[in-house]
Amino acid sequence: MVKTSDMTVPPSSLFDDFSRCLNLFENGGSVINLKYDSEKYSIEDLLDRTWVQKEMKLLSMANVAIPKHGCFCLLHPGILFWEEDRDDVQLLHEEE
Amino acid sequence: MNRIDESINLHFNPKAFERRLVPESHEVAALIDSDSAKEILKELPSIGPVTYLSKLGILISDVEKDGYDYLLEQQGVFGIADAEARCEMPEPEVLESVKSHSSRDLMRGPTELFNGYEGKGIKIGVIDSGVDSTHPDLKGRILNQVNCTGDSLTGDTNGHGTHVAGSIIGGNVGVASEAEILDLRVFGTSSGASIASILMALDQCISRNVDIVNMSLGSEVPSYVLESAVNQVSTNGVIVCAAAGNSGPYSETINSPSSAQLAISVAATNASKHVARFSSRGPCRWNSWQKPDCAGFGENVYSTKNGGGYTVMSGTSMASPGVAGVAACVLQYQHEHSGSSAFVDWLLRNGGVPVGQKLDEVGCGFISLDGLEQYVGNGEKMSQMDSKKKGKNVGKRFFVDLIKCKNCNSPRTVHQIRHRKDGSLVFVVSCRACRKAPQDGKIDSEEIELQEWQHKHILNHQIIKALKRCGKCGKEGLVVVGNWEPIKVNPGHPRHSKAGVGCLYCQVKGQRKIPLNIARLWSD
Repeated sequence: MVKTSDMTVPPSSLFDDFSRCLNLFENGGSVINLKYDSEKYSIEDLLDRTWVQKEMKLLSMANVAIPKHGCFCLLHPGILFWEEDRDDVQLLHEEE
Repeated sequence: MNRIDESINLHFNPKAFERRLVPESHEVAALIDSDSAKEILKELPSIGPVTYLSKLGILISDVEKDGYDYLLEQQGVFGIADAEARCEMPEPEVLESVKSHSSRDLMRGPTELFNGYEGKGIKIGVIDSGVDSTHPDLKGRILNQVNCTGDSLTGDTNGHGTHVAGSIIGGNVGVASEAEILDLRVFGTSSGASIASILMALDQCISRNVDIVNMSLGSEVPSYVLESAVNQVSTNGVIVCAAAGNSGPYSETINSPSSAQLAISVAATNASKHVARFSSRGPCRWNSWQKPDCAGFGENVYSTKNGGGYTVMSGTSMASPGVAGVAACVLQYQHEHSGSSAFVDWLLRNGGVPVGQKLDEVGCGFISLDGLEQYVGNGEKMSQMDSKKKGKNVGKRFFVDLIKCKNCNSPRTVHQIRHRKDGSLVFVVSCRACRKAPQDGKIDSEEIELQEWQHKHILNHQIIKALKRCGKCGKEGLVVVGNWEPIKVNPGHPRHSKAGVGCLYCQVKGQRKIPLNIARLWSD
C-alpha cells in the first residue's frame, strides 16, 4: 500500500493509483489538491462541482474536499496527479 | 622552589619594602606539597585567615615579609604567586556577524551600472504572513493585499512578512526601493500554511502579471503539487525566489518548494558572506536537482518591523527577499535595454560571486548587484566566467536553455554531421518540427563549421545528440555525447537521463542529469 503522505510524485502505474484511491476511501475521504488536464476537461467534467473548495484556473489545479464515495473519481484520466492537502508549510526565520 | 612570580617578588623586595613603596602585607597563593601542608598551615606567620584548597594543593593567605620568607624557605612549597593579581578581561569584541546590516547595504554593493535602478515598474509577489501597509518605509508601494487563507484577518499576522517586504522595497533597508509588491497572505492564526492557500497565491501571481515571486517559506516534506505549480509559474516568465530552508548544516536538507526545478533556491550567508550554519544544504533529497542555486544575506538582517520601526531577524527567509530585490533591479535594467527575464533567471543561477564554499552550500555564490555588473550589458564579458573566477564547482554547471529554432522556437538538434578532408566537421542543425515539415522540399537548417582542434577531444564519442550554449565560454559549442543512460533516483521518483557533455570550444567536460522529456527531444 502506498501512503499518500509519502507521495512526492504522481504514481506511474494504475495499481498505484488504485491503491492511493483505496487508501483515501478507507480514511473516509479527505481534502486534496489536484492538477487536471485543462485542455481537454473542465473541473465539472471530472468531479462534482460542490466538492471544489478553491479552483486555481491558471494553474489547472483545484482544492477539493473529496467525500468517501467520490474517492475513485480520482482515477479519471483527466486528473493528472493529486496529493492530500496539509498545513505544515512554515516561515523560514530562525527563532531567537 | 620551582617558580616565584616576578610581581610577588617585587612586593617583598627589601629595597621596595624599606621605602614603603608597597603595602606591608600581601595576599599570596602557594602551591604546596600535601604532606607538608599540615605543618606549613600551623607555622605560617599570616595576618589573617589561611585558605587551603586541599584538592588543588594551594594555600592562600595574606602575609607580611616574614610570612613570605617562611614560605620561601620551605621545601614543601613548589611555587608562590600573587593572589591579588587581576586578570584583565579584554573588551568584548563586536564580531562582524553579530552586527546587523540591511539587505540594501550588502546586496547592492558599490554598483555603478545599476546606480539609480531601484526596481521601478517591477511587481513582486510576496507570499508570506501579510505586510504592514502602514509602515512608513513601505507605504504607497503595496499594490494590493490578497488574503489567500479564507480567514477575516488583515495586515501582518506574524511580523515575518513585513520584515521580508522591507528587505525588498523598504525605502531605507530594501534592495529595490522603487519596486512594488503584491501582498499575498497565506499564514493565518495557525503556525503553518496550507498547500492550497499557497497554490491560490501562485495562481494570483499569474493572473496579476507579477514579474518576481518571493517565497520565504517551506516544508521538509515535499509536495509534488506545490513544486509543479512553482515550475508552472516560472515557465510563465516569472522569477520565483524561494528560501532554501533552515535545516542546515546537514546535507540534503533543501525544503520544498525551493527544491522545485525552476525555483531559485536561496541559501543564507552572514555579513562576511560565509554560509550561515542554519542554511539548508543540497543536493535535494527527493529529486535530482542541484540546489541551492545561489546565496543571499540572511543572518542578523535589519529590516522593517510590524507596527513601525525596525528589527533584526535571521533565516533563509531573510536571504530570499534580498535576491528578489536584486532580480527586480536587474529586470528593470533589462526592460530598458530590451533584455529578457530568462537572462535574469540565468544570472541568479550562475552569476553569484564565489565565496570559496561548496556548491551544495551556496550554489553559484553570493548574489549582489555589483557582482552581476560584469555579466549585464556586455555580452563579451560572459566569456570571462572561467573556472578560476567561478570556483571549482562551476565548471560543471551548464547553461540550461536549449538553442531555439528561429521559426518555431523548438529546440534545435544536430541532425547531420559531415566530415571534411581537412579534418573539420560540419554540424547541420535544425529543429524537429522543421525537419518534419520541409518547405519547398528544403529543411530550414543551419551549418556550424568546427575546426579539427575544436572537436578532437570528443572524437571518441561519435554520437552527438544536441547542441547547447556552454555556460563556461558562452559559445554554442556544448554538445551532448554518448548514449542516454536512464537512471532511477529512487523508487517512485521521476526518471532522469544522464548524459556526457563537452564543449567544443573551451573543452569543458562532465556529466549532467537531464529530465527524460528533454532527453527525448534531444535524442530524436
